[in-house]
Amino acid sequence: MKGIPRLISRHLSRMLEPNEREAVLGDLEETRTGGWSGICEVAGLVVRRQFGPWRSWRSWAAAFGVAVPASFLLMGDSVLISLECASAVRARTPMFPSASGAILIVLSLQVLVLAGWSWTCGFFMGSVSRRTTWISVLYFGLPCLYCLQRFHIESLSIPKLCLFPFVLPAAAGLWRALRNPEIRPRTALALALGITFGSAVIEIWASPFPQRFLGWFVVSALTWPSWFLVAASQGTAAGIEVGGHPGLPSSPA
Amino acid sequence: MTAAYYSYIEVLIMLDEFEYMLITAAAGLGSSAYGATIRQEIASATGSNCAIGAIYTTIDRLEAKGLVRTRMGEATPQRGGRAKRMVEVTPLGAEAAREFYGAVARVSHRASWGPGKAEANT
Repeated sequence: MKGIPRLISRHLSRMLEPNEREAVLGDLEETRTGGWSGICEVAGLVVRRQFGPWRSWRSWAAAFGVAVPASFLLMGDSVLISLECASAVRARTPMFPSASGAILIVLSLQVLVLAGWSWTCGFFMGSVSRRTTWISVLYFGLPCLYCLQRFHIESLSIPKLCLFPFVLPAAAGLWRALRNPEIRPRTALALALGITFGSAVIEIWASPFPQRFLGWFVVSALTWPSWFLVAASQGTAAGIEVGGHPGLPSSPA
Repeated sequence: MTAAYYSYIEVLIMLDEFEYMLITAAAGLGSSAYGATIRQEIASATGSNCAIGAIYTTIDRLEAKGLVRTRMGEATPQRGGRAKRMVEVTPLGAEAAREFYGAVARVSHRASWGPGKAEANT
């Protein structure tokens, strides 16, 4: 392969995993498959690799079951915590007008739950469907950009950055999953219990009576990724591959 | 899911004709089985070219089922210094291919093109 077709093939092949890119370009070189047929061969494999994982429910779960709703919810939580922090700094909060110790406890709990929840979402997106991770990340990021443009949270006397404290733990979870997609059963269980009960306590404590159970129900429903990771980690410990695997396709292509 | 969880019957059901051809070509090629040679082997047997994408996605699928193993091989000058992805058929893969072939032979037994019939007809 020479000239422009070679250049195009090489650029296209960057969408493949390094080992596969090496093998495919070598095969094309060896069989003297050049020109447009070489491009078609590489493009065909790229298309199969990009669209193949969407035949599995995991890709849809990661993108639309976790990335989109979690992004909105975590942003909302981030704003609430920032508002609580701002109130605490002013030593006045609707929940605890005078008890500063209690405020600090609730705030710490909220921050911990937010961090755990964000980390779990990032880990879920990176481990459950590795080949569509970039799509999940895109769907995780788009609501952030939308809210940044749409809402003027400066009017709440907090800076715009207060929308995004969840991004850092989510990125850490994603990074950890891309490096090692397995999680210990105990760690997964501790995370799931912490997130579920922590968020329930916050909802029931902080919300007024009629809304508290609805809020708790909504929040509990959105903790499913953490419980999925518990099930997946149990399966991995028993030798069953529930989530994606670094060496294997996350779904039959 | 790991290979241990694929029962004998599941492997038999999940092996399709292209997977069978790929396993058989790889088994025939032995230690020189990799993408390009498997592709040439299938092309010479069927008389038509198959896409390189079909080869690699099928290899991945077979590897996920535990029917083949792959590893990166050496790079050669005629490959532009790029490594090969070597394919090795596992005992489970050989068993699945044998069973698939047996099933095809058994179901073709009474057909005019079945084993022994083709010679008799000519």
